Amino acid sequence: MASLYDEEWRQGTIFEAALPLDAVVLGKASGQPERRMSTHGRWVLATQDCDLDQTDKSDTEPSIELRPVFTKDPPQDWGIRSARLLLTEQEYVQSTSPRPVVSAAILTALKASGIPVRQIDPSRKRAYTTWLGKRYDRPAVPPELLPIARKIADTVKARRNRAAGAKVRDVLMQFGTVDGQIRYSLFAVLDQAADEPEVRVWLSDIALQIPPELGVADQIEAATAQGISLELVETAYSADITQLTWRPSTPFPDGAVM
Amino acid sequence: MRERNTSARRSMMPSATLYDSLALGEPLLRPVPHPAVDTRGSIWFVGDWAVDVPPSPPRPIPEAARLIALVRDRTGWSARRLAALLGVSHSTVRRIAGGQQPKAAHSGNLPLRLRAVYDVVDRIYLLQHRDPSATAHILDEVIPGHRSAVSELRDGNPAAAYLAAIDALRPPRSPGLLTGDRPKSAGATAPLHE
Repeated sequence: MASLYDEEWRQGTIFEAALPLDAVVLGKASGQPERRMSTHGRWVLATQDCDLDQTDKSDTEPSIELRPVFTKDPPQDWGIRSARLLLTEQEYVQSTSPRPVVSAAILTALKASGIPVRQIDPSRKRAYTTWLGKRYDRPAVPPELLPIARKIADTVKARRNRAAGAKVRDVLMQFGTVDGQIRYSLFAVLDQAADEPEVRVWLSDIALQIPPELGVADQIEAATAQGISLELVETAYSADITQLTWRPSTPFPDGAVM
Repeated sequence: MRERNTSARRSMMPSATLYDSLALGEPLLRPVPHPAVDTRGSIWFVGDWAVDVPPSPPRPIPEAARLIALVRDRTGWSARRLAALLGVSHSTVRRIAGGQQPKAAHSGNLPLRLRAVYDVVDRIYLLQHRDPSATAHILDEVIPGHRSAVSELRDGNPAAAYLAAIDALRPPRSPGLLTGDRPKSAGATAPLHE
């Protein structure tokens, strides 16, 4: 018994075939739920590799999740936190798109018919895996903190290319209020403990770029992932440098590749 | 405003002596002194001539002068103290504080250094509840094994200076895992990146 994985179907495999892309909307005339039907021609598998490995290639139950692949107006960066994620230079997936679930037997039959099937670059596959996982865990802040949180995130992004910035895995933020003014803490997550002094100065430089009328930093720390408490990770906002443009020389974040 | 018979006088006034002769009788031996410029009314007079002086817009304080004033206001530093930190003479600081533009030949990138000092001082001033004395104290504070914020500013390291001042403000980090004391609150509904 061969599985879809044995047949070289992977999370991130792109194929071209006309399949229904349906959604449920409220009918304008009827005021009742209605099926909105369309057809789409390019797809990427969203189901994890471990599930593909557990699924017989002739299984007729709908269990394989697909995502429609779009090519019109692709996003400009490779960010994995964005609503749209580039799979290749011109192809992307959209967070809010409908997603059908098909049977393994359909994929097997389509492949046997000779449809175009290809794998994406391994680095993009890892980004895609992370993007899928983050769809339900995206960073958000209270609206009143949005200006300063976004300014910090943008400044971190702008200063990421500096030598110290490349040594940072993530930047966490916490906010408080003193006398009606926002105070904030910045925490850098490092790979190497030896980089702490340099990275703290890097963070301090970022804090000096934040207009004081938005808020003033009164705590700047850095530590390796082993030195940071889970409590801090869970109670801080991520400035989220993983949304930055991928550079070929930098490692990609680990995704849930199984 | 003084009452003047300006129209009759102006047409016949090549000099003060002739004017006095025609208008008032016997020529005087010497010119009658007039106020050089009379600015008491809405129309100014130069001698007896009404002149229309366009209003002069207020000149903005030069940026460097403004920053010097702010830094000194927020720290209580003397001009000499600030000058030492900036690496220039106190007379240079005074000149610039008086409105002169910094001369690159004399002061190098002084405007940039001044801005960097202000950026640090302003933030520490806010953290110190707008207390100049407390601000100056923290900027001078030396944590064992580290340099003071003032020392870092003197060497042109504003980021290191800010960090030194923040560290001086907070109790030393306790050993163990890094924690935060400002947990995020509920209501995180604004997406950060989209």
